[in-house]
Amino acid sequence: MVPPIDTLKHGFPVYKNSGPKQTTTYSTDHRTFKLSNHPWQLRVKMGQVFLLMPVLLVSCFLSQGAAIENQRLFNIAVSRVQHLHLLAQKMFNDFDGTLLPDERRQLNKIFLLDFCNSDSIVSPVDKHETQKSSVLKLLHISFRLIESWEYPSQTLIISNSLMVRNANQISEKLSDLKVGINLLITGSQDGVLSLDDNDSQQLPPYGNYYQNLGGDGNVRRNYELLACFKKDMHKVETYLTVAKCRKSLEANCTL
Amino acid sequence: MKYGNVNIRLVSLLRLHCPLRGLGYIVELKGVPVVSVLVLSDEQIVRSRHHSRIFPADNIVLDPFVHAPHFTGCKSRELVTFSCWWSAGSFQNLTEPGALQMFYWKKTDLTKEWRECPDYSSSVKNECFFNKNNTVIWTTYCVRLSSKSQNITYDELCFELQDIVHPDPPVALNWTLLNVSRSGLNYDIMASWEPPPSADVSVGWLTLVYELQFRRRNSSHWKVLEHEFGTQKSIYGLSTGEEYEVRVHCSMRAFNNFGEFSDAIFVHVSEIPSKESTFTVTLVLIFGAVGVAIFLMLIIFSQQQRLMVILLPPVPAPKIKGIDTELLKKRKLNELNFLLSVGGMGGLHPYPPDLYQDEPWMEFTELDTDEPEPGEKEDNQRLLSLGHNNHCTNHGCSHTLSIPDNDYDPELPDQETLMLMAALLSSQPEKVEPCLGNQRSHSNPPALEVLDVPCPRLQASERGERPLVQTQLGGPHSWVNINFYAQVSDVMPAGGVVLSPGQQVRAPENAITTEEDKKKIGKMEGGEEESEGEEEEEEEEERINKKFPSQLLVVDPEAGGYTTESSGRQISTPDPSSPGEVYHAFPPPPPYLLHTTPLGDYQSLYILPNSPAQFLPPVLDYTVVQDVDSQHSLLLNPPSPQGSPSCPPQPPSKPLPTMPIGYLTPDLLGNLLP
Repeated sequence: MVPPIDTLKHGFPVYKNSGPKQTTTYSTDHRTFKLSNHPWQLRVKMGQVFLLMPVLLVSCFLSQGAAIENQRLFNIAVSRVQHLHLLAQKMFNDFDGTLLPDERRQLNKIFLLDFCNSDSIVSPVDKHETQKSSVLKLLHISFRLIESWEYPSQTLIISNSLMVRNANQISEKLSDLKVGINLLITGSQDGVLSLDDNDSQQLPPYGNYYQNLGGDGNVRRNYELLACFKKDMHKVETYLTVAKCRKSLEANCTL
Repeated sequence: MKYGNVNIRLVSLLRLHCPLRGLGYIVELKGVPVVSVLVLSDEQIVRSRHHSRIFPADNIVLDPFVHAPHFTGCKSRELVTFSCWWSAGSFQNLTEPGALQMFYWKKTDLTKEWRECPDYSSSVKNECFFNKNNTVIWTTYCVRLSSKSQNITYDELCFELQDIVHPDPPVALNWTLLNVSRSGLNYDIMASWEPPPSADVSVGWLTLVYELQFRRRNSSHWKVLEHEFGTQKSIYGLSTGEEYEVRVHCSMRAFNNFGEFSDAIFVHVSEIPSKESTFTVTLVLIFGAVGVAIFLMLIIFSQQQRLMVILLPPVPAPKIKGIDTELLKKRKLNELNFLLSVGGMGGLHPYPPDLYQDEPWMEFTELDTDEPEPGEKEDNQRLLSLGHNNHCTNHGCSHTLSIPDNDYDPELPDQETLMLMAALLSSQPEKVEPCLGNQRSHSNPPALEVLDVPCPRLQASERGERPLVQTQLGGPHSWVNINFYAQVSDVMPAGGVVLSPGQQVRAPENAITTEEDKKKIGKMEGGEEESEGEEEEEEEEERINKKFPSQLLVVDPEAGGYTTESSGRQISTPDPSSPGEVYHAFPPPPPYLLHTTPLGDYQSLYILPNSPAQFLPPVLDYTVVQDVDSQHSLLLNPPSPQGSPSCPPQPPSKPLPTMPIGYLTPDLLGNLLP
C-alpha cells in the first residue's frame, strides 16, 4: 500500500513513517489537521471498505456454501460407510452361522491373535486420540483403510441373504466411497497437507497379504477376511462420524 | 477318561472325549508321563499362541460338578472403558479376596506380557475396571483369571473392545398422546427418550439404535418395536382404559449388543365418556332416516305414474266391445252419449248384448224377437227402426243390410250408420250366430241383404242371445241398419275388397278351429288396418265403390261379425295379436252372400264364390260369401239348397282354394256374380 504522500507541506514527499511526526507538527495548523482527515483520504478509506465489503460478503457466502456442501458430502460419506459396515456385519454373521460352535470358537481365537492387513495403518485407537486428530487426518486414514480393501474385498464370501449379487459390488461401493473421501479431503484442505510423512509411507503391503492364508476354500482365511473387513468398516465409520460431527454446526449431529 | 489314563498330547486346543465338561489342555511330554489337564468351561477356553503351559498332574479336575473360577463377563458401556467380572466358582478356598488375580494382555503391547488388573474395583467384588487410559479399541484384549501365585490359570478370555459394548439404558423416557380414535377406544402415543449420557453421541463417537418394548400391565409378553435412528417412536393402537408399560434399550449400530432396559413408564388413558357422541350419532341417524324417507316419498309421489308402470305393468285390459278408446277420444260428446246410451248395459255395451250370435259376420245382424229380453230388444228395435227389414224366422230374425249403390252419401250416413253399426256391432259377440243362413229378406233395392240363419245347434245354446238387428243399407238409413263395420284389410286386384277379420270372436261349444283358419286370419290381419279413421273408411268405401263395384269381400270380425269402427279400433289397438280389425261396410258393392263358419274362438265371414272349393278353409273371422243373390244380397252360407234354414256349420276343414281368404280372383268373381 502506497503510503499517503503529503506534498502540501513542503513539496517533498512525506512517507508514512514520518506520518506521526507530521501530524504532530501539523496539529497546531488546522490546515494540516484537516489533512490527516482529509475528505480525500476518507473517501479512499471508505472506498476501500466498500470494495472490501462485497468481497467479504461473497467470501462469507461462499464459505457458508462450501460448508454446506461439505456437510452434504460428509453426510453422504457417512451414510455410505454405515451401509458398508452393515453389509460387513451381515456377511460375517452369515458366515459365522454356517460354522460349528467349535469351529467358531477356534476361528475366533485365531483371528483375535492374528493380524489384519490394516494393522499396519496407524490410526487412533481410542476416543481421546480420535478427537485429538484433525479432520484431515481422519479423512486420510479413512481413505487408506478403504483403499486397502478395494481389491481384497473381491474375494469376500457373499451369502445369499445379502442384497448384493457378488463381491464386485462391494468393491464398487468401496471405490465410490474412496472418491467421496477424496473429495472431502480436497475440500477440507487448508492449503497445506498436514499429514506426517510417516503416515504416507506406512502403506500396507496389501494385495497378497490375505493370499498367504490360503486359497479361497480356506475357512480360516474367509473368516479372518470377513472379521477384518468388519472391524475396518467400523473404524472408518467411527472416524468419519467424528469428523462430520466436528465439522457440523449442529449440536447433536448423530441424532 | 480315568484318572491316570489320560492321554497326553501337545495340542493347541482339544476337546476331551470324556465325561468331563469343557475343554482341557493336555500336554504330553516326551516320555514324561506328566498329565496336565485343565478343565475349563466351554466359553472361556482361549488359546493364544503365547500361551502354552504345562500343568502338573495334580491340577486335573475330573469332577464334573466342580466349577472352576471363571469370568462372568466383560463389558464396556461407552467404548471408552470396560470392566470384567469373574466368580470363584465352587472353589471355596478361593473366595477370599485376592485369591484370584486377573491379568490382561493386549495385542498392541510391545512387551507381550501379562499385566495385572489395573483397578480392582473396590465397590464390587471380583471386578476389574479398565479406565480410558488402559483401553484401546480395535485391539485384541486377553484377560486371564489365575490364582495368586500365577501358576494356575482358571480362565482366559479374549475380545476386542467394540464387540463387548453394551450401552447404558436411555434416559428420560416419556410419552405424549398423539390422538384418540373417534370411537374413543384406541389411542396413539409418541414415546420419546434421550440417549444415555455416557454414550457420547453428540460428538459422533457412538451411533445408537434403540428398541422399544411395551406390554399391557399384567401381560408377560413384551411387544417389540424396532427402531433405527432417532429418539422417539410412536406407538399406535393402544386401548383406552388399559395401562401399558413401555421400556427402551439401545445398542451400537451394526452390533447386536443391547444394553440394559430403561425404567419402564406407565401409559394410561382413561376412557372418554362418549355418551354425547353416541347421542349425537343417534340423532343424526334418526334425522337421516327421516330425511331419506321424506325423499323417497317425494319421489314416489312425483313419479307415481312411472313407478306404477314399472312395478305393476298394466295388464292388458279386456276388450270392451263396442267402445273404442279412439272413438272416445275423437268423437263428439253427443255421439259419445249416443253411443253410451244406446247400450243397454250401462255404457259398456252400447249394442244389444244379444245382438250377435256366435258367428260373426259383417253386415248381418239378426234380432231375435223371441228373446226374453225385451229391453234389449226394444233398444235394438228402436235402433233399427230405421229400416224394418226384419225378417223373422222361427230361429231368428234376419235382416238385410242394404248397401246403396251410387247415391251413397259417404258423409253423413256413414257417420250415423257407422256409429250405429259401431254401437250395434260391439255387443257381445257371443250372441252372434255361428252361421248364416241363406235366408233372404226383403230389402230395399239396391240393398245388400245379409241373411243370417241361426244354426240350430248353436241357437239352442245361445237362446236368449239372438237379437239380431236387421239393418239395411240404403240411403241414409241404410247405414243405420248396418250395425257392424268391416274393415277393409286389402283390396284385391280384381276389384274385391278383403275385409279383415273382426275381434272378439267367441268360440262356440263345438267350434272348429283349424290351423289354416288361424293362418288365414293371420293373413287377413296382416292386411292393412284401415280402420283407423272414418275418413279412411269412407275413402275405402268410395274406392271400393268405384273400383270394385261388383265385389265385396266381407270378413267378419271375430266379435260376432259386427264391430264398429271404433270398437274395431279399440279392439285392434290393445290387442294386436288378435285379429282385431274393424269391418267396414261397403256401400256399393253388390251383395254377396256372407258365410260364416264357426271356428274355434273365431267366427269369420267368408265370401264364398260359387266354387267354394277354390277358397281356403275359412279363416277366423271371415265369412265367405257364398253367393250373391238377385237382390244383391250376400249369401254367406255355403251353396246349400236355397232357403235352407239350417246352416250346416261349414267345416273349417272344407278345402278351399289356395287363395288367401277374402280374395277373389277374377274367375271366382265371375262365379260369384249372378
